[in-house]
Amino acid sequence: MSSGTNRPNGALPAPRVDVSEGSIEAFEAELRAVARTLPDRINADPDHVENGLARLVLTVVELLRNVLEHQAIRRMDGGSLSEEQVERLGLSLMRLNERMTELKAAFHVTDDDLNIDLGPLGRLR
Amino acid sequence: MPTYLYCVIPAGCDPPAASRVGVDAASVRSLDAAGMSAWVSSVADPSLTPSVARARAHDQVVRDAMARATPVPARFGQLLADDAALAQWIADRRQSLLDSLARVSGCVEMTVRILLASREASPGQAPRESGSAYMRWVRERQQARQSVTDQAEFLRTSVARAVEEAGVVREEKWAAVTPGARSLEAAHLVPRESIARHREVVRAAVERDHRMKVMLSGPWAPYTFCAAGHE
Repeated sequence: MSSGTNRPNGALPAPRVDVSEGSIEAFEAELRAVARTLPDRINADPDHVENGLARLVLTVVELLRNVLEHQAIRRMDGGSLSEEQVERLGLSLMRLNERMTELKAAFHVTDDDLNIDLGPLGRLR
Repeated sequence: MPTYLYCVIPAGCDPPAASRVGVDAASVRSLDAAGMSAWVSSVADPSLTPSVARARAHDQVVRDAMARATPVPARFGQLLADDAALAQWIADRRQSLLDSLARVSGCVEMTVRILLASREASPGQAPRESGSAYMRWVRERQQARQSVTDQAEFLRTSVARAVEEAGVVREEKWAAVTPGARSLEAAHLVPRESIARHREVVRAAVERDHRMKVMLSGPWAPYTFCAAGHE
């Protein structure tokens, strides 16, 4: 790394955004997705407060579901589960996944809506 | 009337132009405190609900200050009871603010965002025929996400090495990479004279060496590296 010095500063070039050729749309989509994950206030509008709370609750449930799936795969790969246990565990997780899909649809919430930014920990998904 | 803070700059810098206005078109002035200068306005509306217009007005004042010296920018909405309260606020943080001014002196912030492999690599819809099939699908999905994370780590190391070898970055901060991430993001503290070279080095490291897509933006005030009140 170069070292810094105190020096008088001259005119600064205007901010500029450079993107690799042919990638503008991809970056636009990515920035839109990132913007949706920024911390937000719960919408206190009586007509929309339910949706804001649902998003918050579903985000927590999704986080726990991901943790459960990780643990399940670790146990399966560790060889500590019988075939029958793997089947039963898989069915439970599959139904939980299906239930989450139904809840997301009911509250008009997408996967990206649940991809909250956890600050230094990164994003959920 | 409440005093709104835009940034803190070293003492002795030229004050803002008399015509310079900031948030809510309030006049911007320089306030000397604890051996530094704060750029401030007196604002009538203490609620200062965030809006794009207000955020732009805030940043434009900070950019004006950057023409004099790299400031320690304040985040939007930093409001104190009056000038005396602000002077005391600065005095309470004197050493921390001086350290931050030295840290960013002569530099700007550049942001780098690199697109990672898309999530198409992950398996499609979850199977429904059996629990075992679902478990195998979950494992494939986790492996696909892990491969993206590994790719991000490799890229991060590669770009960090390139900018270090070229000497175009004084300091860098990378956002955490989690499984399933779609892009890799960094903020670079770049000496002003190295702005153009920094763009070249990063683009070469990403596009030529890895055939990946990158977005570079800046120069910005060093919000990621220091912010008055968040030192």
